Amino acid sequence: MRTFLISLVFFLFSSVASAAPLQSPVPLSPEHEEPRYLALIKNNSPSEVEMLFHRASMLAERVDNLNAYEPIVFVLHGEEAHAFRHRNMEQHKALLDLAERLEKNNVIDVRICETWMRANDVDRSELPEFVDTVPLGPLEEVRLRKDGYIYF
Amino acid sequence: MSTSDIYIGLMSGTSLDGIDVAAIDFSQYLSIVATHSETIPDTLKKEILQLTQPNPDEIDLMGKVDIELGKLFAKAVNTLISQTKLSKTQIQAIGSHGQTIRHRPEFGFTLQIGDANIIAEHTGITTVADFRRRDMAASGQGAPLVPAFHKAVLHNPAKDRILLNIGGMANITYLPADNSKITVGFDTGPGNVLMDAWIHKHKALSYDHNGKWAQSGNCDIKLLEKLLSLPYFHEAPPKSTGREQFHLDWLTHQLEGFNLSPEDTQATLLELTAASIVSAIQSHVASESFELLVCGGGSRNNALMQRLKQLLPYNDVSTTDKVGINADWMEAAAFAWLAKRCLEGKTGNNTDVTGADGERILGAIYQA
Ligand SMILES: Nc1ncnc2c1ncn2[C@@H]1O[C@H](COP(=O)(O)OP(=O)(O)OP(=O)(O)O)[C@@H](O)[C@H]1O
Ligand SMILES: [Mg+2]
Repeated sequence: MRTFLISLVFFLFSSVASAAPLQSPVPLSPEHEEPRYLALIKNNSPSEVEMLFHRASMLAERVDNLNAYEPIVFVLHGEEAHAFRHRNMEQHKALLDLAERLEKNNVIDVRICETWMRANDVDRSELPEFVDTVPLGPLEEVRLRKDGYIYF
Repeated sequence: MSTSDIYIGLMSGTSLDGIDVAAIDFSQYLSIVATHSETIPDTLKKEILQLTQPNPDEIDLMGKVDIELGKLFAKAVNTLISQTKLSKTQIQAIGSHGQTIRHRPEFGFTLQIGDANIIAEHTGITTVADFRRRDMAASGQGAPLVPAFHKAVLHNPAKDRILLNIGGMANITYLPADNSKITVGFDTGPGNVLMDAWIHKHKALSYDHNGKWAQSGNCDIKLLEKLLSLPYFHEAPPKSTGREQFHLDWLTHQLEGFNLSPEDTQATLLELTAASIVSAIQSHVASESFELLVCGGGSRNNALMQRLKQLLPYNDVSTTDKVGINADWMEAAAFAWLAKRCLEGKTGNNTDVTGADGERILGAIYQA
């Protein structure tokens, strides 16, 4: 389980003041008035990601100008990322088509962890061009959180 | 022509890889005149490790180790001097950090041993020791102490700099180019300590040379996330840590439920060191265009350095060798500098980083 993310969320939203005297885990910068979102992936399954894509799509429908919109970031570094490999494309066609369309429309921004890729022998060429890669997924999430991104 | 202003720094860090001694001449900026590394006998190493965890009868053992270490520190200094043309009269003082056997800032308690009476007696050189506790008495963490030294010798008005020391633990000092901004310094978490413990357990080696063994495995992201969820990584500075927090039993406990090969675990531990450092920088350093200067034994670990460079692709990452201070001797040089400050009646702590109520003269003087 993604205890790290869960604990971040716990610290942020918990009203239990008697918990350990911890400060907010990552200082949030208040510069951006518009909320920017980061997907919270809990089960690391393709179906969960597909469900979150649909939610992202629904959220974007309420936005007037998608060009001025900050896409919802999906940092993938678990089992779910296998769905994006060419060899699994047939099996996850609906997910991939949706991802490509939402990427094109600036609704989502998928980033796959290079460290996960190395551990799973996944070459960049096995992944669709529309996804980005980042050196280390968990670190990317910390960075985004620091930049004021919140989980959706 | 200037007269020499030589101090000896004596450092024995958490890694227990050896006692570092360096003679530093401060007459013109800073030059490392001579260095020596003294091996710690295995039995003494074991006793020190035993003292870092609560045990019965520890006061007697502490007394024994305090004396043995004092003698070994003195021997290290005498060896250094005999290997150079220096005479003892040229040396103003020794600054001895001592061996930390307990660091509990939450209780206002830290203890470094290696009797300085013995060092002064056996070397005939004035010795300054016990640098941390005055800062704690003034409500500080007693650590890290090196940032004041970093600021004194490595501040660059043209560039934001971060000094990163990767010893047993890892600590950073952020020196903003703009001197009016505060210095940020704290322990980011484990440096080499977990990697050393893990390779020692599985291969009876004292460290993973250049991270080769780690590179033969793969980082497990789930384990990494679990380790990174430790509250320490999310606390705001000032903060400091040690073997009390990061040790083999803790790691073994964390590994429960994971079925990883030893090399995958090692790869994950290397990643933990790199990621916790970078995450600490991203969370607490208000600069994106800094230069990162690395020192301590971890700066010699090629795999770790390469990883830091990959995780900070837009920053200059190099060792302090680049700015003229050999990365292996930075910590020893810092305690030479602290001894000088003490003898000159000058303060040695940076309150921005220790959180102390005020600047204090650090250290107790044991006259020659
Ligand atoms: N070539 C290398 N490859 C990998 N690791 C290295 C290499 N050289 C040194 N090290 C690591 O550096 C450690 C020693 O570092 P150092 O002496 O800076 O730590 P320390 O004595 O604990 O100091 P402190 O904790 O006070 O900063 C060794 O235990 C080892 O893990
Ligand atoms: Mg050392």
